[in-house]
Amino acid sequence: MQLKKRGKLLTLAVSALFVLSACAPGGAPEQTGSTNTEPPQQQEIDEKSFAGENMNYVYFSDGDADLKATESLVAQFEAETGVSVNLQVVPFADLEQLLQARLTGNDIPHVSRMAMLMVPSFADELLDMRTYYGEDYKSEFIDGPLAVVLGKNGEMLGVPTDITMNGLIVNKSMFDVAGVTIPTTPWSWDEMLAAAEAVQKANGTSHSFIMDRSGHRLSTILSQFDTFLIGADGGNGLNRSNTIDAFNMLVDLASDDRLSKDFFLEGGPTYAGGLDLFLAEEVPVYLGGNWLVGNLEDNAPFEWAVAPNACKINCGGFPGGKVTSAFKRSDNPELGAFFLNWLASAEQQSYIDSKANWLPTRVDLSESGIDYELRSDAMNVFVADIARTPTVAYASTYSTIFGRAATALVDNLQRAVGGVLSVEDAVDKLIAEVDALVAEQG
Amino acid sequence: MTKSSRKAMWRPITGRHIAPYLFVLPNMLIFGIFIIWPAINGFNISFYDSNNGRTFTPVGLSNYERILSDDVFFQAATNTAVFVFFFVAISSSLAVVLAVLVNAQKSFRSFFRAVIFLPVLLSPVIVGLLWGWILQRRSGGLNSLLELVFGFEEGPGWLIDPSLSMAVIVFVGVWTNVGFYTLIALAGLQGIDPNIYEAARIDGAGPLQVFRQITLPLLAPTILVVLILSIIAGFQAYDFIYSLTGGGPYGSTMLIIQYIFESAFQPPIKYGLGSAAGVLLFITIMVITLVNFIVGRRRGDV
Repeated sequence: MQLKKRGKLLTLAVSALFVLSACAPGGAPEQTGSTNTEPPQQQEIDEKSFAGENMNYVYFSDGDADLKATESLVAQFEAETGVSVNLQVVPFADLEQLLQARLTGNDIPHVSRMAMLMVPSFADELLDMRTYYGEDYKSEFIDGPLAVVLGKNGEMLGVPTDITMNGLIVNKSMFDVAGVTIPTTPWSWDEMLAAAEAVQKANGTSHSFIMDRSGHRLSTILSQFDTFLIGADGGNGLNRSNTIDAFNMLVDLASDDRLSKDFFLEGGPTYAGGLDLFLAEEVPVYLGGNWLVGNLEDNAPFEWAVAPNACKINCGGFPGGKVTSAFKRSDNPELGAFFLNWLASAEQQSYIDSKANWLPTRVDLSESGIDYELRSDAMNVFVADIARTPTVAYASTYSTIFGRAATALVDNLQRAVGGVLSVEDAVDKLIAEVDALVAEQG
Repeated sequence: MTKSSRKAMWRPITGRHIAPYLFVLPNMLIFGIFIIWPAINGFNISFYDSNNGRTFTPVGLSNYERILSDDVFFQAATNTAVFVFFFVAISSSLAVVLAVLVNAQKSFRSFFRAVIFLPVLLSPVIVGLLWGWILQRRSGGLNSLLELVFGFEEGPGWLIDPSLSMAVIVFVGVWTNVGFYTLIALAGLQGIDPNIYEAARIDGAGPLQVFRQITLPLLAPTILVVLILSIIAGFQAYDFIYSLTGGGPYGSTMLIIQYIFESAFQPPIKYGLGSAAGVLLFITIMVITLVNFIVGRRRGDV
């Protein structure tokens, strides 16, 4: 009797599971089938109708400076338009899941700041800015960052609001002690490494060069060797011979600890900090990026400067960045589009760039330059490297598979540095893994 | 169905009948909404592909096929099996030994109990960072000590040598959790009737005989609980390992939970793949726990 009862219960539970399995979670993919590359018919925006409206703006902050500047801009927008803006600051780590949950639950914000590589995941939900501002609106932005917000059929799915640029940060105090001059024009890898070693010897530091253990930072070096994880066409962009050269250089640097071998092989969170070693004055040259300017100004107990990126086949750094997009299913997409246009205007972007140490995404600001409030000398070195960076680097970093490809890059380089694989085998394994990711992505 | 049984079935619901269910209802609601429902939904999602959490395409068993043909999954599964085996074996036996030693103390028992339990109170992330600093090859505390005492010029690469890193995460896992299991074992020990020990001593039994013939058999149900809890904790280990080694070097400490997390949440997001790996983990834990439970109960019956 007891057994029968248990059997019935088990059958019921299993049946329930199978019935549930037949129910699709969420919704089925939209069958848009649209291949229309014609821009949508432009609609007029009635600005006066927005007074008294509420707008939800989801935002993640990179630090105090950008948050304060954003709050200030939001207050200005409210004063100018009569719109009440609810600035919802969320941790970056939760942003993607939070937006997905809100879209599924129809609690859709009007606009959100997003990492550039998130755009394709939300493409079907994002408002095409051409609807209100026309096809020509695209021409206001630099090609590289603009490419990130372009949909498959030419839609403009938001506005690029800031880009980041990797670059070399040097301990100026140590360079002065060694009598080594920090160049103002691009230098070669050989020149940079020779200078770093001279400074290391003069100051008795443990290492001469350090970088975060990150596929994004490593991609800077790959780009300078003219090889990319993802190519301009979205396929595998790795050139075997150039990648082997780049790996050989790094393995050689790690073999005698000019680049800390232990730091490179130890685990922990991916973006574990070369910055810590740099701030502890154990290394004179650090491959970081412009987002660190505020941090360095607050925490570096020595004089520091930014040097142009080192060149091999290419010069320049490696980009990253953020966009702000409006959602077309929000209760007032027109207001979202209006806010984006306002936020991305030269006046507002010039303000936030100068306060938050953002690099400009607009053509006019890129040409006129930004008057940075903090360390404009350092910021202008990063700005100069934007133009030197190959365009394909933008396509590489903004690909949705870049994250996994970057993990594979770190993993295989670690194997080469640790002697588990030869450089050639590590590169071949990396190429095969990126091929698999590209094939999976379709 | 007889009249009386039908009557029993339809007897009026009174406050007395419903009260027990009302008492457990809040807990069951929370358990159902936050544990059972997501688990069932995870099972369901494992048959779909989704990279945005909003739209799902049915793919049958292809997520499972993909996982079962993935070398990284097998590496993570092997690492997990090795970790769970050593973690469970060491932490359960050490917990029993520590419990017996603490129980034998006449004074300072609370002090020893607190000292052993202390690591349980630390955040796993902090545990990972703490041991990361201690175990660094060049500037870590342990290698500095080895250099001081034994004159080692270059200590072992605890975190960069794949042959050592698994031992390191087992050690840190045991260090973190053994206090909790010791408390459970201690509670079991204190539930054993002291008269049995006295009778054994009168019969001339030595300490080892007492331990083997009395303590262990009477502690068996508690040990079973410790085993089940440590197996589950072993399979779920992730946070301290991630902050200690990040799954490296070369994936040698990547366990199945990290594999699930990275499959599901690292762009391009693959919720179905992560869910399928989660279902496989669930089945594995369930089978092992059931076997453990049934074997333990049969032994108890004998």
